[in-house]
Amino acid sequence: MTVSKLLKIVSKCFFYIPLLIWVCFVVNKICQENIYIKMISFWLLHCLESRKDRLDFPRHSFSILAPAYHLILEGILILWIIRLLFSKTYKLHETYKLTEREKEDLIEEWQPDLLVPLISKDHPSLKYNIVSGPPSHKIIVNGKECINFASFNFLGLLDNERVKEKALMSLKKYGVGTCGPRGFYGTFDVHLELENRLAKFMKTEEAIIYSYGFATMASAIPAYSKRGDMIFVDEAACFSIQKGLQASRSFIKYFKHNDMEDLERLLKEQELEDQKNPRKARVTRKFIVVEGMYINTADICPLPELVKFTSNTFQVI
Amino acid sequence: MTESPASKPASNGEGCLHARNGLKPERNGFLKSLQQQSRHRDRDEEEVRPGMGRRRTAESCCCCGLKIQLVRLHAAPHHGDLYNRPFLESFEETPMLVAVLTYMGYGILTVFGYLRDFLRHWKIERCHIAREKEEQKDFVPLYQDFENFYTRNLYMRIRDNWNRPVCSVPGAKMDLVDRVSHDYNWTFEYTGRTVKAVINLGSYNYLGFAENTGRCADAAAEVSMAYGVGVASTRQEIGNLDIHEEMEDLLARFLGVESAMAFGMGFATNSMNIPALTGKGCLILSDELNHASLVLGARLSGSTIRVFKHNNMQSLEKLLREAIVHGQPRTHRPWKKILIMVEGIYSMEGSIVRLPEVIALKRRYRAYLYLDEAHSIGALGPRGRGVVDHFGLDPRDVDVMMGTFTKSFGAAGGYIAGKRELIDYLRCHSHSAVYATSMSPPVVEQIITSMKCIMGEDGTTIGSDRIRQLAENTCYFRRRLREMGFIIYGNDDSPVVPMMLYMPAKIGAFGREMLSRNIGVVVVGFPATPIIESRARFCISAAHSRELLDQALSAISEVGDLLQLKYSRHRIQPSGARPFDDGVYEDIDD
Repeated sequence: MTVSKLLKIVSKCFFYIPLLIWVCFVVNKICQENIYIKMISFWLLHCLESRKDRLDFPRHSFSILAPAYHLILEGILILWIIRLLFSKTYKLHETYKLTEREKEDLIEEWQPDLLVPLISKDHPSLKYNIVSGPPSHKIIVNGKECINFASFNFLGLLDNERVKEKALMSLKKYGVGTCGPRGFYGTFDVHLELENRLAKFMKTEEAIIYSYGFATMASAIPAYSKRGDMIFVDEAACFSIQKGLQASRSFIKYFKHNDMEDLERLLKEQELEDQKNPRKARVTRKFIVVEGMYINTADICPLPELVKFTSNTFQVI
Repeated sequence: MTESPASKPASNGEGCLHARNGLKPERNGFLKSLQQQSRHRDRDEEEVRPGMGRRRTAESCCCCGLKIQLVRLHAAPHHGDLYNRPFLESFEETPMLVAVLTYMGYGILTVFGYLRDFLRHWKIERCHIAREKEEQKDFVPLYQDFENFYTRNLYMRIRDNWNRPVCSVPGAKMDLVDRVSHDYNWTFEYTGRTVKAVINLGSYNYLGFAENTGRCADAAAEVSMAYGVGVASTRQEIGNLDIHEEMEDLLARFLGVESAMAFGMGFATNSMNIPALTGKGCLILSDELNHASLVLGARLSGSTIRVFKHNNMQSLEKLLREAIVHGQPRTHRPWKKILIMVEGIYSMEGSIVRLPEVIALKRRYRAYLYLDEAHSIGALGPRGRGVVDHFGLDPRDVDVMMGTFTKSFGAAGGYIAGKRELIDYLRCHSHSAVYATSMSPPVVEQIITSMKCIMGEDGTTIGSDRIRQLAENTCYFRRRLREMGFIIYGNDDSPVVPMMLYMPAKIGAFGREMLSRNIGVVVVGFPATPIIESRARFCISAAHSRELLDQALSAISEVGDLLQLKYSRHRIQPSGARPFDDGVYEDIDD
């Protein structure tokens, strides 16, 4: 609600509450003493009586009636009420009804933007390089043979013969596609075997695999971190992590790339906040997200120092 | 403007197919201008059946999941030149007794769930749930206990119906790995045996391309020897092979559009490309029952999202008019663009989108259409080109055609197709093209071979045979199930057949009974469906022969009698023993 609306409502209350008080007062008095009836009857009687009592009237009337301040207050309130009754009311928002004709006109006039903005013909990303032949340490790009410094082929397993043989065997057994999600007959025994082996390889209890690398981080983060949780992320996190953070709707705090002091400062600030509001802190989960090797800056995160932070009641991914 | 229909009022001979409640089938899904003409006729028929209750639109449900529904929507004669074939959809109403019993069942389960949680908390019962590490005991717990109430107490009881491991090709018959659980589904053990030759009614194998022999498998094997198994780079860098380009050209020709682009994962296609198309200041109108990938993509894009009732064209039109007339909320500035998101076949309902009406609306109000054909590409249409082909429309009317290769082509991945400008823009700006690895070569080759097969370009008629077989199988299967008396949702032409189970215990029972008869089915419950509408979903394939379907049908009928699943009150051949008979509901004059 904006401030002006609030002011209007307060001012109306300010006018109407005294009115309410006055009405209650009056009703109370009438019930108790019938003072106005007495007053009117007194005046009427007085008019019929002799003139010699007239000098006594003011004192009588004033003593029957309430003290002076009460009369003045009531007078002011009556004037306020008269003013309110005659003042113009103003609406808080306009409601307008359009005719059918106007609606049709609006619909006719509306022009949407183009679905996608036009790309110039010589945009650098428009023409992809075409690779023909297997991508290994040598690669044929656009017809020329080159040494391959571009693929992520760290262990050189892209053209390993054993890998290809096994792939062929599995193709002969299972076909190419799985034809279903994991829950509905899309889990194969090889998936389970891979997960077991990964868990043993990484020395963890269990592992889970995804079919698309990009989607792994983008779904894992929102699975744990929901709205209202805190995440501390390195500035140089890759795009997939950024999408995961966006999908999770949590509070994000970035710390400088590979800077442990910055992270510690942020964590300490958070601890102070928690102490101020312990009830909220009890339900807010906190995560730290880092990459092993950053694709944007090509360096490695300092894991030993990071692990130290877990003893300070923070959870680390 | 909308087409003027040839309005020939439906003869009274079709009155028997019109449902009670006085609701005319044409009313739902019929555009405003076309409704004017049927209104005078509606009023007469309304007077004939007084006091039949409030009229509701065909696909509306109230929050508790009860659908007040028509039996059949028969739209052929009235729509004239919008639909070239009858559009028959039915979503039968939940019987009242069944709904009450289902709620009671969930109530009992909830009470027991609380009891078990109490026992676990006080350590009377052993606790199998994942727990925090010792040193992290005083951390904020990763999962709030109540969030997982459903998983712990309801899902765990019937968990053996999902994630069943397969150890052969998922064709018409498959082999499952035998597994048992000694602690009520908390952990599984593999006995080492396999269950052989289980009839597969669960995999998305519409055209039967999930095979390990034949032309597709041979071609994929050759390519994996020649190119390797992976590419290890993104499309924009060094991961664009020549077979990728070939596949995209073929795909554009298959769909009848100017150009197309493929991505590695179907889900990610939606969630990464919708943010590239819309942003702040745009409006997305999405169907109630859209898939999670569409919803995620719409959320990530930052546009305003408005939801219209499932397949309900009046609701869509109302939203469109309001949006254009009133503009953005609070500022009333005009919207930059409006995107309507619909799916070809909705996999949980089995319904097909009313594409001719959507296109008419889109032209009238100048909105853009995003069609997600994940299930319908290859499965619908006389030439297998999807829902656009099914209705005989022009693919150029749909602005963005999206689909996946997982279902009908037996591969993996997704695509987006449309005008050249759209695809050029996506090549430069899509998140997937810049950051995600490109598709691996054997998968690409499988797509190329299967697509050529469907188009008939490999010189055989395998493709068209399979399409015809799928259509026949679908028709036969649905007809037989309906004759037996099960409640089947969805359109008569869709190969996805949801059969209603309703009660929570029957979900588990149905899955297990079918497996004991060597048939593998998919059962779905909450949260994929509304809480009382749990169902079993059959996916028909061209690889199923008539004998296989007969075998499956007799087993389904047997289990249906055992579990009393034949709830329908509209059997084509009424049989003597009808459960939940009269006294509870009114009679239908059928």
